[in-house]
Amino acid sequence: MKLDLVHDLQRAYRKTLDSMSRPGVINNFRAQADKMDMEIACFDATLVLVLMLFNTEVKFYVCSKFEAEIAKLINQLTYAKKTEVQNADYILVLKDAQPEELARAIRLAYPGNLRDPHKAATIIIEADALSNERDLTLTGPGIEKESYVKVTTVTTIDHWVDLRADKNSEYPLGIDLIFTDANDNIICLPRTVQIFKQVVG
Amino acid sequence: MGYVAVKGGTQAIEESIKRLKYERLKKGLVLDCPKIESGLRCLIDQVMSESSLYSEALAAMSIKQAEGSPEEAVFLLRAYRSTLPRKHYSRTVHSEDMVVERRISASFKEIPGGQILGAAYDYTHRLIDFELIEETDEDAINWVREFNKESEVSCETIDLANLPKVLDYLREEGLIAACANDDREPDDVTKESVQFPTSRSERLQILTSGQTGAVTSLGYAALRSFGALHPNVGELRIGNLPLYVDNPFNEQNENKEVEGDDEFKDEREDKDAYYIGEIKVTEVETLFPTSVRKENGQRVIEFGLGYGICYGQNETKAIAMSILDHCLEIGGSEYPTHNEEFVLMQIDSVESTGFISHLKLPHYVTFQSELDSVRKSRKEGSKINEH
Amino acid sequence: MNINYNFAFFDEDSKREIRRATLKAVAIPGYQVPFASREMPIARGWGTGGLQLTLSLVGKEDILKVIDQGSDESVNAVNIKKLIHLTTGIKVTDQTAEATIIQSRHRIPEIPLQAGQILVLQVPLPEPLRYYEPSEFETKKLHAEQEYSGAWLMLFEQIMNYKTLATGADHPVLVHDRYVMAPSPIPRFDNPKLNSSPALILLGAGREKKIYAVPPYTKVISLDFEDYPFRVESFQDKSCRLCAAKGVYLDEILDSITGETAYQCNDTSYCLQRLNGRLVG
Repeated sequence: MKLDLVHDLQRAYRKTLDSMSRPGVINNFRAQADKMDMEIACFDATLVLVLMLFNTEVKFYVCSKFEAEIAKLINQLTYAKKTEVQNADYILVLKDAQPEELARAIRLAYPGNLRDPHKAATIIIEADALSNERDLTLTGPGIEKESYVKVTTVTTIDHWVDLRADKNSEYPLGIDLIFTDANDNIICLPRTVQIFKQVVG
Repeated sequence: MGYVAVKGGTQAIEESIKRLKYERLKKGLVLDCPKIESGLRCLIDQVMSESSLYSEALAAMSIKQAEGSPEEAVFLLRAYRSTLPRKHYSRTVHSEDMVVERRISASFKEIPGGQILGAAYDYTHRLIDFELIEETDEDAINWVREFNKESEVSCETIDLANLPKVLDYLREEGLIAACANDDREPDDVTKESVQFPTSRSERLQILTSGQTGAVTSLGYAALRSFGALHPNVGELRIGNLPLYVDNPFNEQNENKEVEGDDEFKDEREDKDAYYIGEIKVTEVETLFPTSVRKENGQRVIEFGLGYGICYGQNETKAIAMSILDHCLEIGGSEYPTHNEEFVLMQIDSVESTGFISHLKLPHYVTFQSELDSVRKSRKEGSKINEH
Repeated sequence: MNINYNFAFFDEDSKREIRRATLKAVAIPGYQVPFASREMPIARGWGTGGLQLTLSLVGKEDILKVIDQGSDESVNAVNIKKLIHLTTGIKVTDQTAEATIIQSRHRIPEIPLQAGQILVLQVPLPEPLRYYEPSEFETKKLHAEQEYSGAWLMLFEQIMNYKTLATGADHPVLVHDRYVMAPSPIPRFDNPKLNSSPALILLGAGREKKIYAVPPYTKVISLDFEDYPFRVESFQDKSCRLCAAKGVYLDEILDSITGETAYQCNDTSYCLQRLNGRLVG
């Protein structure tokens, strides 16, 4: 693997931080992802996030047909430990996961508690495509007025938006989402973002 | 030609650093690291314990660079520790396996294995030996040769690697309550910051790396407030403990907590255990007689326990630690030594010395802001006086 | 001296922990995220929190500015810049507009920050309620319950004692209508710069082991009362004796010989740029 664990992960981190502090801004990991040559059933961008963030202290959960293999590989690469969905710091919902799995992950993910809202899980979701088309309107911290995203996922578009809104209805409790796609794009939706669906017609 | 910033800062710092180096070198003699390791054993032990980094060689280097200042030496070691990746935890260590060099009990005259005084300052007379001025390396070599000859003659009837614990003996006799093992995974305060209320593993970690003076003083304060009930050192032992780590990819490790008898498996026969070295520690178990009122109204004495452990030979600190461990375990608001936030947040050398020394940094903008407030308040005050 | 340290001093796992904490801090504006806080070669209380944030962020392409009390040449700023440069080799600058990362103790630069820049503030005491409640256990509870009467009480006491709000620096703010936050000992003058900034603002307390954040375009309001509104320090009739700037934070300089008081830009690089004609207005 030609990925430089110091410099490439630093660059990927800055892009992730940029997307998290400016929800709706799409950042691209191609420069880092191209250096990955692992045979693994997840997006390169997802794996970059894993290498960037996971280590011995992290507990994670994977939703995928190849869950066992991927969890083992992640453990070998990072020493992070797999656990139940409700105890995970990071939940990976991969492209081949069933729609119910994404719903279940959002429902069961730990939203933090009032003393420690930071302990809430981060869900990393592999989408088909990410773009700034005017499909969902975002407002909140990090956004000057509004920003727009379109997230095409394995489930129907609305489903995760509503589940998320419900889960995040009691700020500061809530989950934070990161989406990746096959083109190495990422967007971040911290719990502070309000999402409005475009009204059709 | 444009205006340029007055670049005094960088130069001033360079000069200050040079001046500091001058202090260390001005007498034309430098310390030899092996000599520091050889002759400053106690300072090395103190510094290793406060920095929570076990390495006599690194401690010696830090002591040399810091001109003997424990504050600075510990700082150097901690900063160095921050650069080291830590991927593994050792297996649980059992101090029954210690190869004992010193082992005493203040609670009992006769203990299984006997009172082994070992190397300690306790029995010396604190009289300065002026002959040490003339001491040479050759004197040392000769003395050690004679000493080794004497040691060969005396026979060893005691197995120093398997001395039973005094407290276990008391438990067998029913004099102190048996307690179940707590095999929960300890928290690591260096990887996740401490939250209150703390777990016992967090308290013990912070106490063991506390500044020796701070831990000693707080232990002393606790002692002075105890009044009629006086803690007793049940056992103090000093010696070497071997350390083992697991094969990190062994999946069996996930199920380790379930198999109860793993902890008594002989590590030397365990093919999955890798020996990584040994450390010298001071371990103290202290008994606290406590008066307890039973259901039938009768008062009895029960023994509470305190535990102290430090890298190297740090007896005072380990005893003070065991006192504070007990105080924090029982808690309470009557004495500050029983308040975990008060004790644990104050004793770290790097943090306390750092914050105190930060007062030397310029604070004039904040001060300026305060001056502005003072002026405003005076103006308001005089307005009122005018009426 | 041969140092073979990792890029940006500490090991990658330490950076991971700080990066995880930072991402959470950005998701919960104004909330103090605990982090393990490694010891740095610079003393606690001297900016180790800010330093750890900067070192977790910095890459080969970054351009760094470090100031202390407004000055690039202050001893603390120079020392920090030296350490970062030593362990990364990256370019340093005095020009605010040129920097990608600005680490600062006790001031926000005069030149407005732009989108894409990151401001890292050094924080000695991250807990705005500490004056009122010494216990960390208790203040966590107060934040959880949004129980901020202690902060208001402190301001009320100032009004009772001094007939005006009298916080010098570190005047508490309310972030995103939820968390009361200590903005670090920046003068009141700088508080308005936190509100709806185009830049990301990160705050680090090394000794207290907390990281917190104000994302761009976030609502940050200084606490005050309707009848006693928040006011910044006034430099009404004064201007810088060197570059004649007005409406910026000025240092008071006492001339020890003449006994006269003069005023000078606190932000030294700003003053210099004005003098060299590189700034308009």
